[in-house]
Parts: sequence; C-alpha cells; structure tokens
Amino acid sequence: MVSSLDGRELQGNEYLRTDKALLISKVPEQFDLEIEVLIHPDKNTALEGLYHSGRLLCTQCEAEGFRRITYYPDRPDIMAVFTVSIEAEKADWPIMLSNGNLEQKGQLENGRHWVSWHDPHPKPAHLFAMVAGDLKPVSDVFTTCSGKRVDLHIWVEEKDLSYCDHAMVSLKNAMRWDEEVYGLEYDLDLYNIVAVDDFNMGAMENKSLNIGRPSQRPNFSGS
Amino acid sequence: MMAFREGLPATIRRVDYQTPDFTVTAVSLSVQIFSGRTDVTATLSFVRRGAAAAPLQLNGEQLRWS
Repeated sequence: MVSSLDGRELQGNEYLRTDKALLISKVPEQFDLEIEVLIHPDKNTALEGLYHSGRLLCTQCEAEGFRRITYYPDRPDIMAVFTVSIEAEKADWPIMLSNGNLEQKGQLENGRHWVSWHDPHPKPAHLFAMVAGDLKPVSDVFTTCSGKRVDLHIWVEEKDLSYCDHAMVSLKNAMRWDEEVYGLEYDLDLYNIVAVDDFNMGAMENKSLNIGRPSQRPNFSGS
Repeated sequence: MMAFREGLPATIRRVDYQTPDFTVTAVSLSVQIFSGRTDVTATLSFVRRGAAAAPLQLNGEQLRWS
C-alpha cells in the first residue's frame, strides 16, 4: 500500500506523480488521504526537510521544507492540527521531540522506542519541527498569569549543560514579557528549546520547539 | 528566522494569490527512523474549499514510495 483515500488504495490511473507534485484528479468534498513515503535524511543536503545535522536529526521547514517530508499542500495559509509519532532505536536516538504536548511514549522490541506529540493549535506546515538525538535537558517551570504550569526544557549536548542558566532566565522573562506587554499567555504545557552547535540554519522558531545554536541569541517572541 | 542560504528564492507576488482549493484540518504523521532511511506515513484530512471539479494538488520533493 502506497497511498489510500478513505481507506481505499489508489490505482495507478487515479494519480499523477512528478518530481515536484502529486496530483489526484477525482476526490470528494471531504476525505482522508494516507500516504507512505521513504526519505533519506542522511543524504539530504538541501538543509530543508528532515536531515542529519552532525549527530542530530532535525528539521527545517520554513519556507518550503515540509514537502521534503511528505506530500502536502505546502503553503502558509493552510493551517492544521498536527499529531506526530516518532519511533527509533533508543540507543542512537534517546530524545525525540516535536511540537506541542508530549502525549504518550513507550518501548518496543529490539531496542526501539516511540513517542507521540500533539499540538492542539492549527499551524502552517512551515512551523512543523522534529528533533532526535542524544540531548540532555536543563529544566525549569514557568507559572503563567492564570496559574498554569509550563515545563521548560533547554536541550543541549552534555558539554553545554553548564551554559544554559542565562538562557533559561531569559526564556522566563520573555514569557512574562509576552503576558505583561501583549496579554499573551503561553498556550501549551511544555516549551522546548534545542541548542546545538550542529544546527546550520542559525535559529528557527517553530511552535513550542525552538532550534538554534548555543551562540545564537534566542528569539522567543510569538513561539 | 535567521537563515543563510545560497541564491534567492523565487518571487511570489501577492497579486497572484489564489485561495487554496482544499484545506487540511488534521495531520497525523508517523515517522520511523532507521539507519539510512526514514519511513513517513502521513494521514491528511482534507476539506474542499474551491470548485467541485478541482483536482487535489500536493507538493512533494525527493520523496520515494516505500
């Protein structure tokens, strides 16, 4: 099975595939489309989509990277609710992050494990992110203006664990600033930052999963 | 985003804007990481917004059928 529409496998004459698009000629008013693809993050040198960045597996989807992960109407005026599950070898990829709240996690046979993430807020695909790698957290808690608890994690390589204190203080100050100046209360249970030397895009403010270099001054606004 | 990339992106003009024929309400993504390859299964919930005869057009680059 490669692609199915409302559970029915698509036949070869129902779609057209090019190197940049997938066209399905006849579809109903409302439907679910399931598509299985295979990608090669280790060979992805475009710095868009899912790729290996040093010892990390990470995404860069702004502006047009999500189309390198799956077939999608990759434009910013389409906003959807994302649920993401990630499965990998635990020894190689102990930490697996995506947008939103961590819903579930578990162990599989053969040393593999999985996590599932859910972001209840509709977002354009260019704000999708995932990261997998051997990262260590520096953690704290922020209490929002209405009293909600938000877990804060800055994920770094072990060698950088002692450099996160200022960033954590800055993050909490920025969240307070958003509340006091703009009336914006943080809207999830969790906020993750990944700060690794290997991230070659500089910095990317995805929904609840900022990715950047430790040397980069983080910009937390709007995320 | 602070990004540094080679070349200039293609110009997208506001005057050329057209509303999408379909919107996506929900994305369910299953990502399985293996050595040398990653399998991605996406379940996308579409709702038509445009003309009844409009085909579904999706972007995709460097994707292989599994």
